[in-house]
Amino acid sequence: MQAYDPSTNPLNNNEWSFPLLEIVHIVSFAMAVGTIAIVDLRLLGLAMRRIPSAQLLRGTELWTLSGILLAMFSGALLVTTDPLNYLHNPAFQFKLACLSAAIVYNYTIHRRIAQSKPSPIAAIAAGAVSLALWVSVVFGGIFYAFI
Amino acid sequence: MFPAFARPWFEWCDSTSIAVAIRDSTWMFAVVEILHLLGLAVLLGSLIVLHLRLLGFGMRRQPVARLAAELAPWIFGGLWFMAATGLLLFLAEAMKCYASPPFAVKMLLLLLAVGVHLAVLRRARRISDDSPLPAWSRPAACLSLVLWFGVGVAGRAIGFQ
Repeated sequence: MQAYDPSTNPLNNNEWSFPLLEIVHIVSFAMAVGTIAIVDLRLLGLAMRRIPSAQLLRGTELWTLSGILLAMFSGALLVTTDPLNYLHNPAFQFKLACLSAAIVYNYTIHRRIAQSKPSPIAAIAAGAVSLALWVSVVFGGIFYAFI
Repeated sequence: MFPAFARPWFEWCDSTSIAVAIRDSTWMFAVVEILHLLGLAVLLGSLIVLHLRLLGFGMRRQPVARLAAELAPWIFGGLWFMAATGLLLFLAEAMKCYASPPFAVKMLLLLLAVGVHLAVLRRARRISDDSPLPAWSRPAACLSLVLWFGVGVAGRAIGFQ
């Protein structure tokens, strides 16, 4: 079996594809995390207290899902440009671990709590955990470039 | 990208002690960049919720005026936070920005986006609760979203120069 040679990857062989993918990655990530953060801020009782979290969740979930899918798709393509360096980078491993946890959490506990009428404590806990997870994902993503 | 007479100002920014400190530190630029991005997430998230409503796609049970009023602190808070962290990033790379077309484009789009946004927000607050969406709301929301996404795209492009 032949080893994969990143220099044969079309994404590495033109000037514009990598920047374009990264732009898509950042914008879609901001869409996903931003819409999740709004629901979190509501759960924390900081924003839009007069609107039920369930309604906010319903209004934003399509944008969240599209953002997550687009970010995952563009992210996977970005990894193929230099897989070994990404996969062996501690910041990237941290990011992937947080991302997996964040996505699972978002579509299970977080979702269930946001859809119910949570007690203030449950709401605050759910929002805080969600924000912490997503901030960690961003943190790992940026630090990847600095390690 | 910027006129030559502005060059001394960029040079001054580039030589301030904050700029030097950020450049000399290995982690400071990264930390400020993370904060800038988190600010972007909050700003974009609240913008999307408001625009969704103006486009008639979601949150239809909430009156536009109330949504606009409730979201305004987060939109402006996010904007100020991004401006503050963005200023730090700019100082650290002022000379790079001086020569950067994406930076110039970003500032122009930002100006337009804020202008359009202020106008939209002001009008949105005046829509009475049970009236249908006015004719301007969809085109204005599209224009505003395009401008904001343009700011993001141009911002990312600064890093590729």
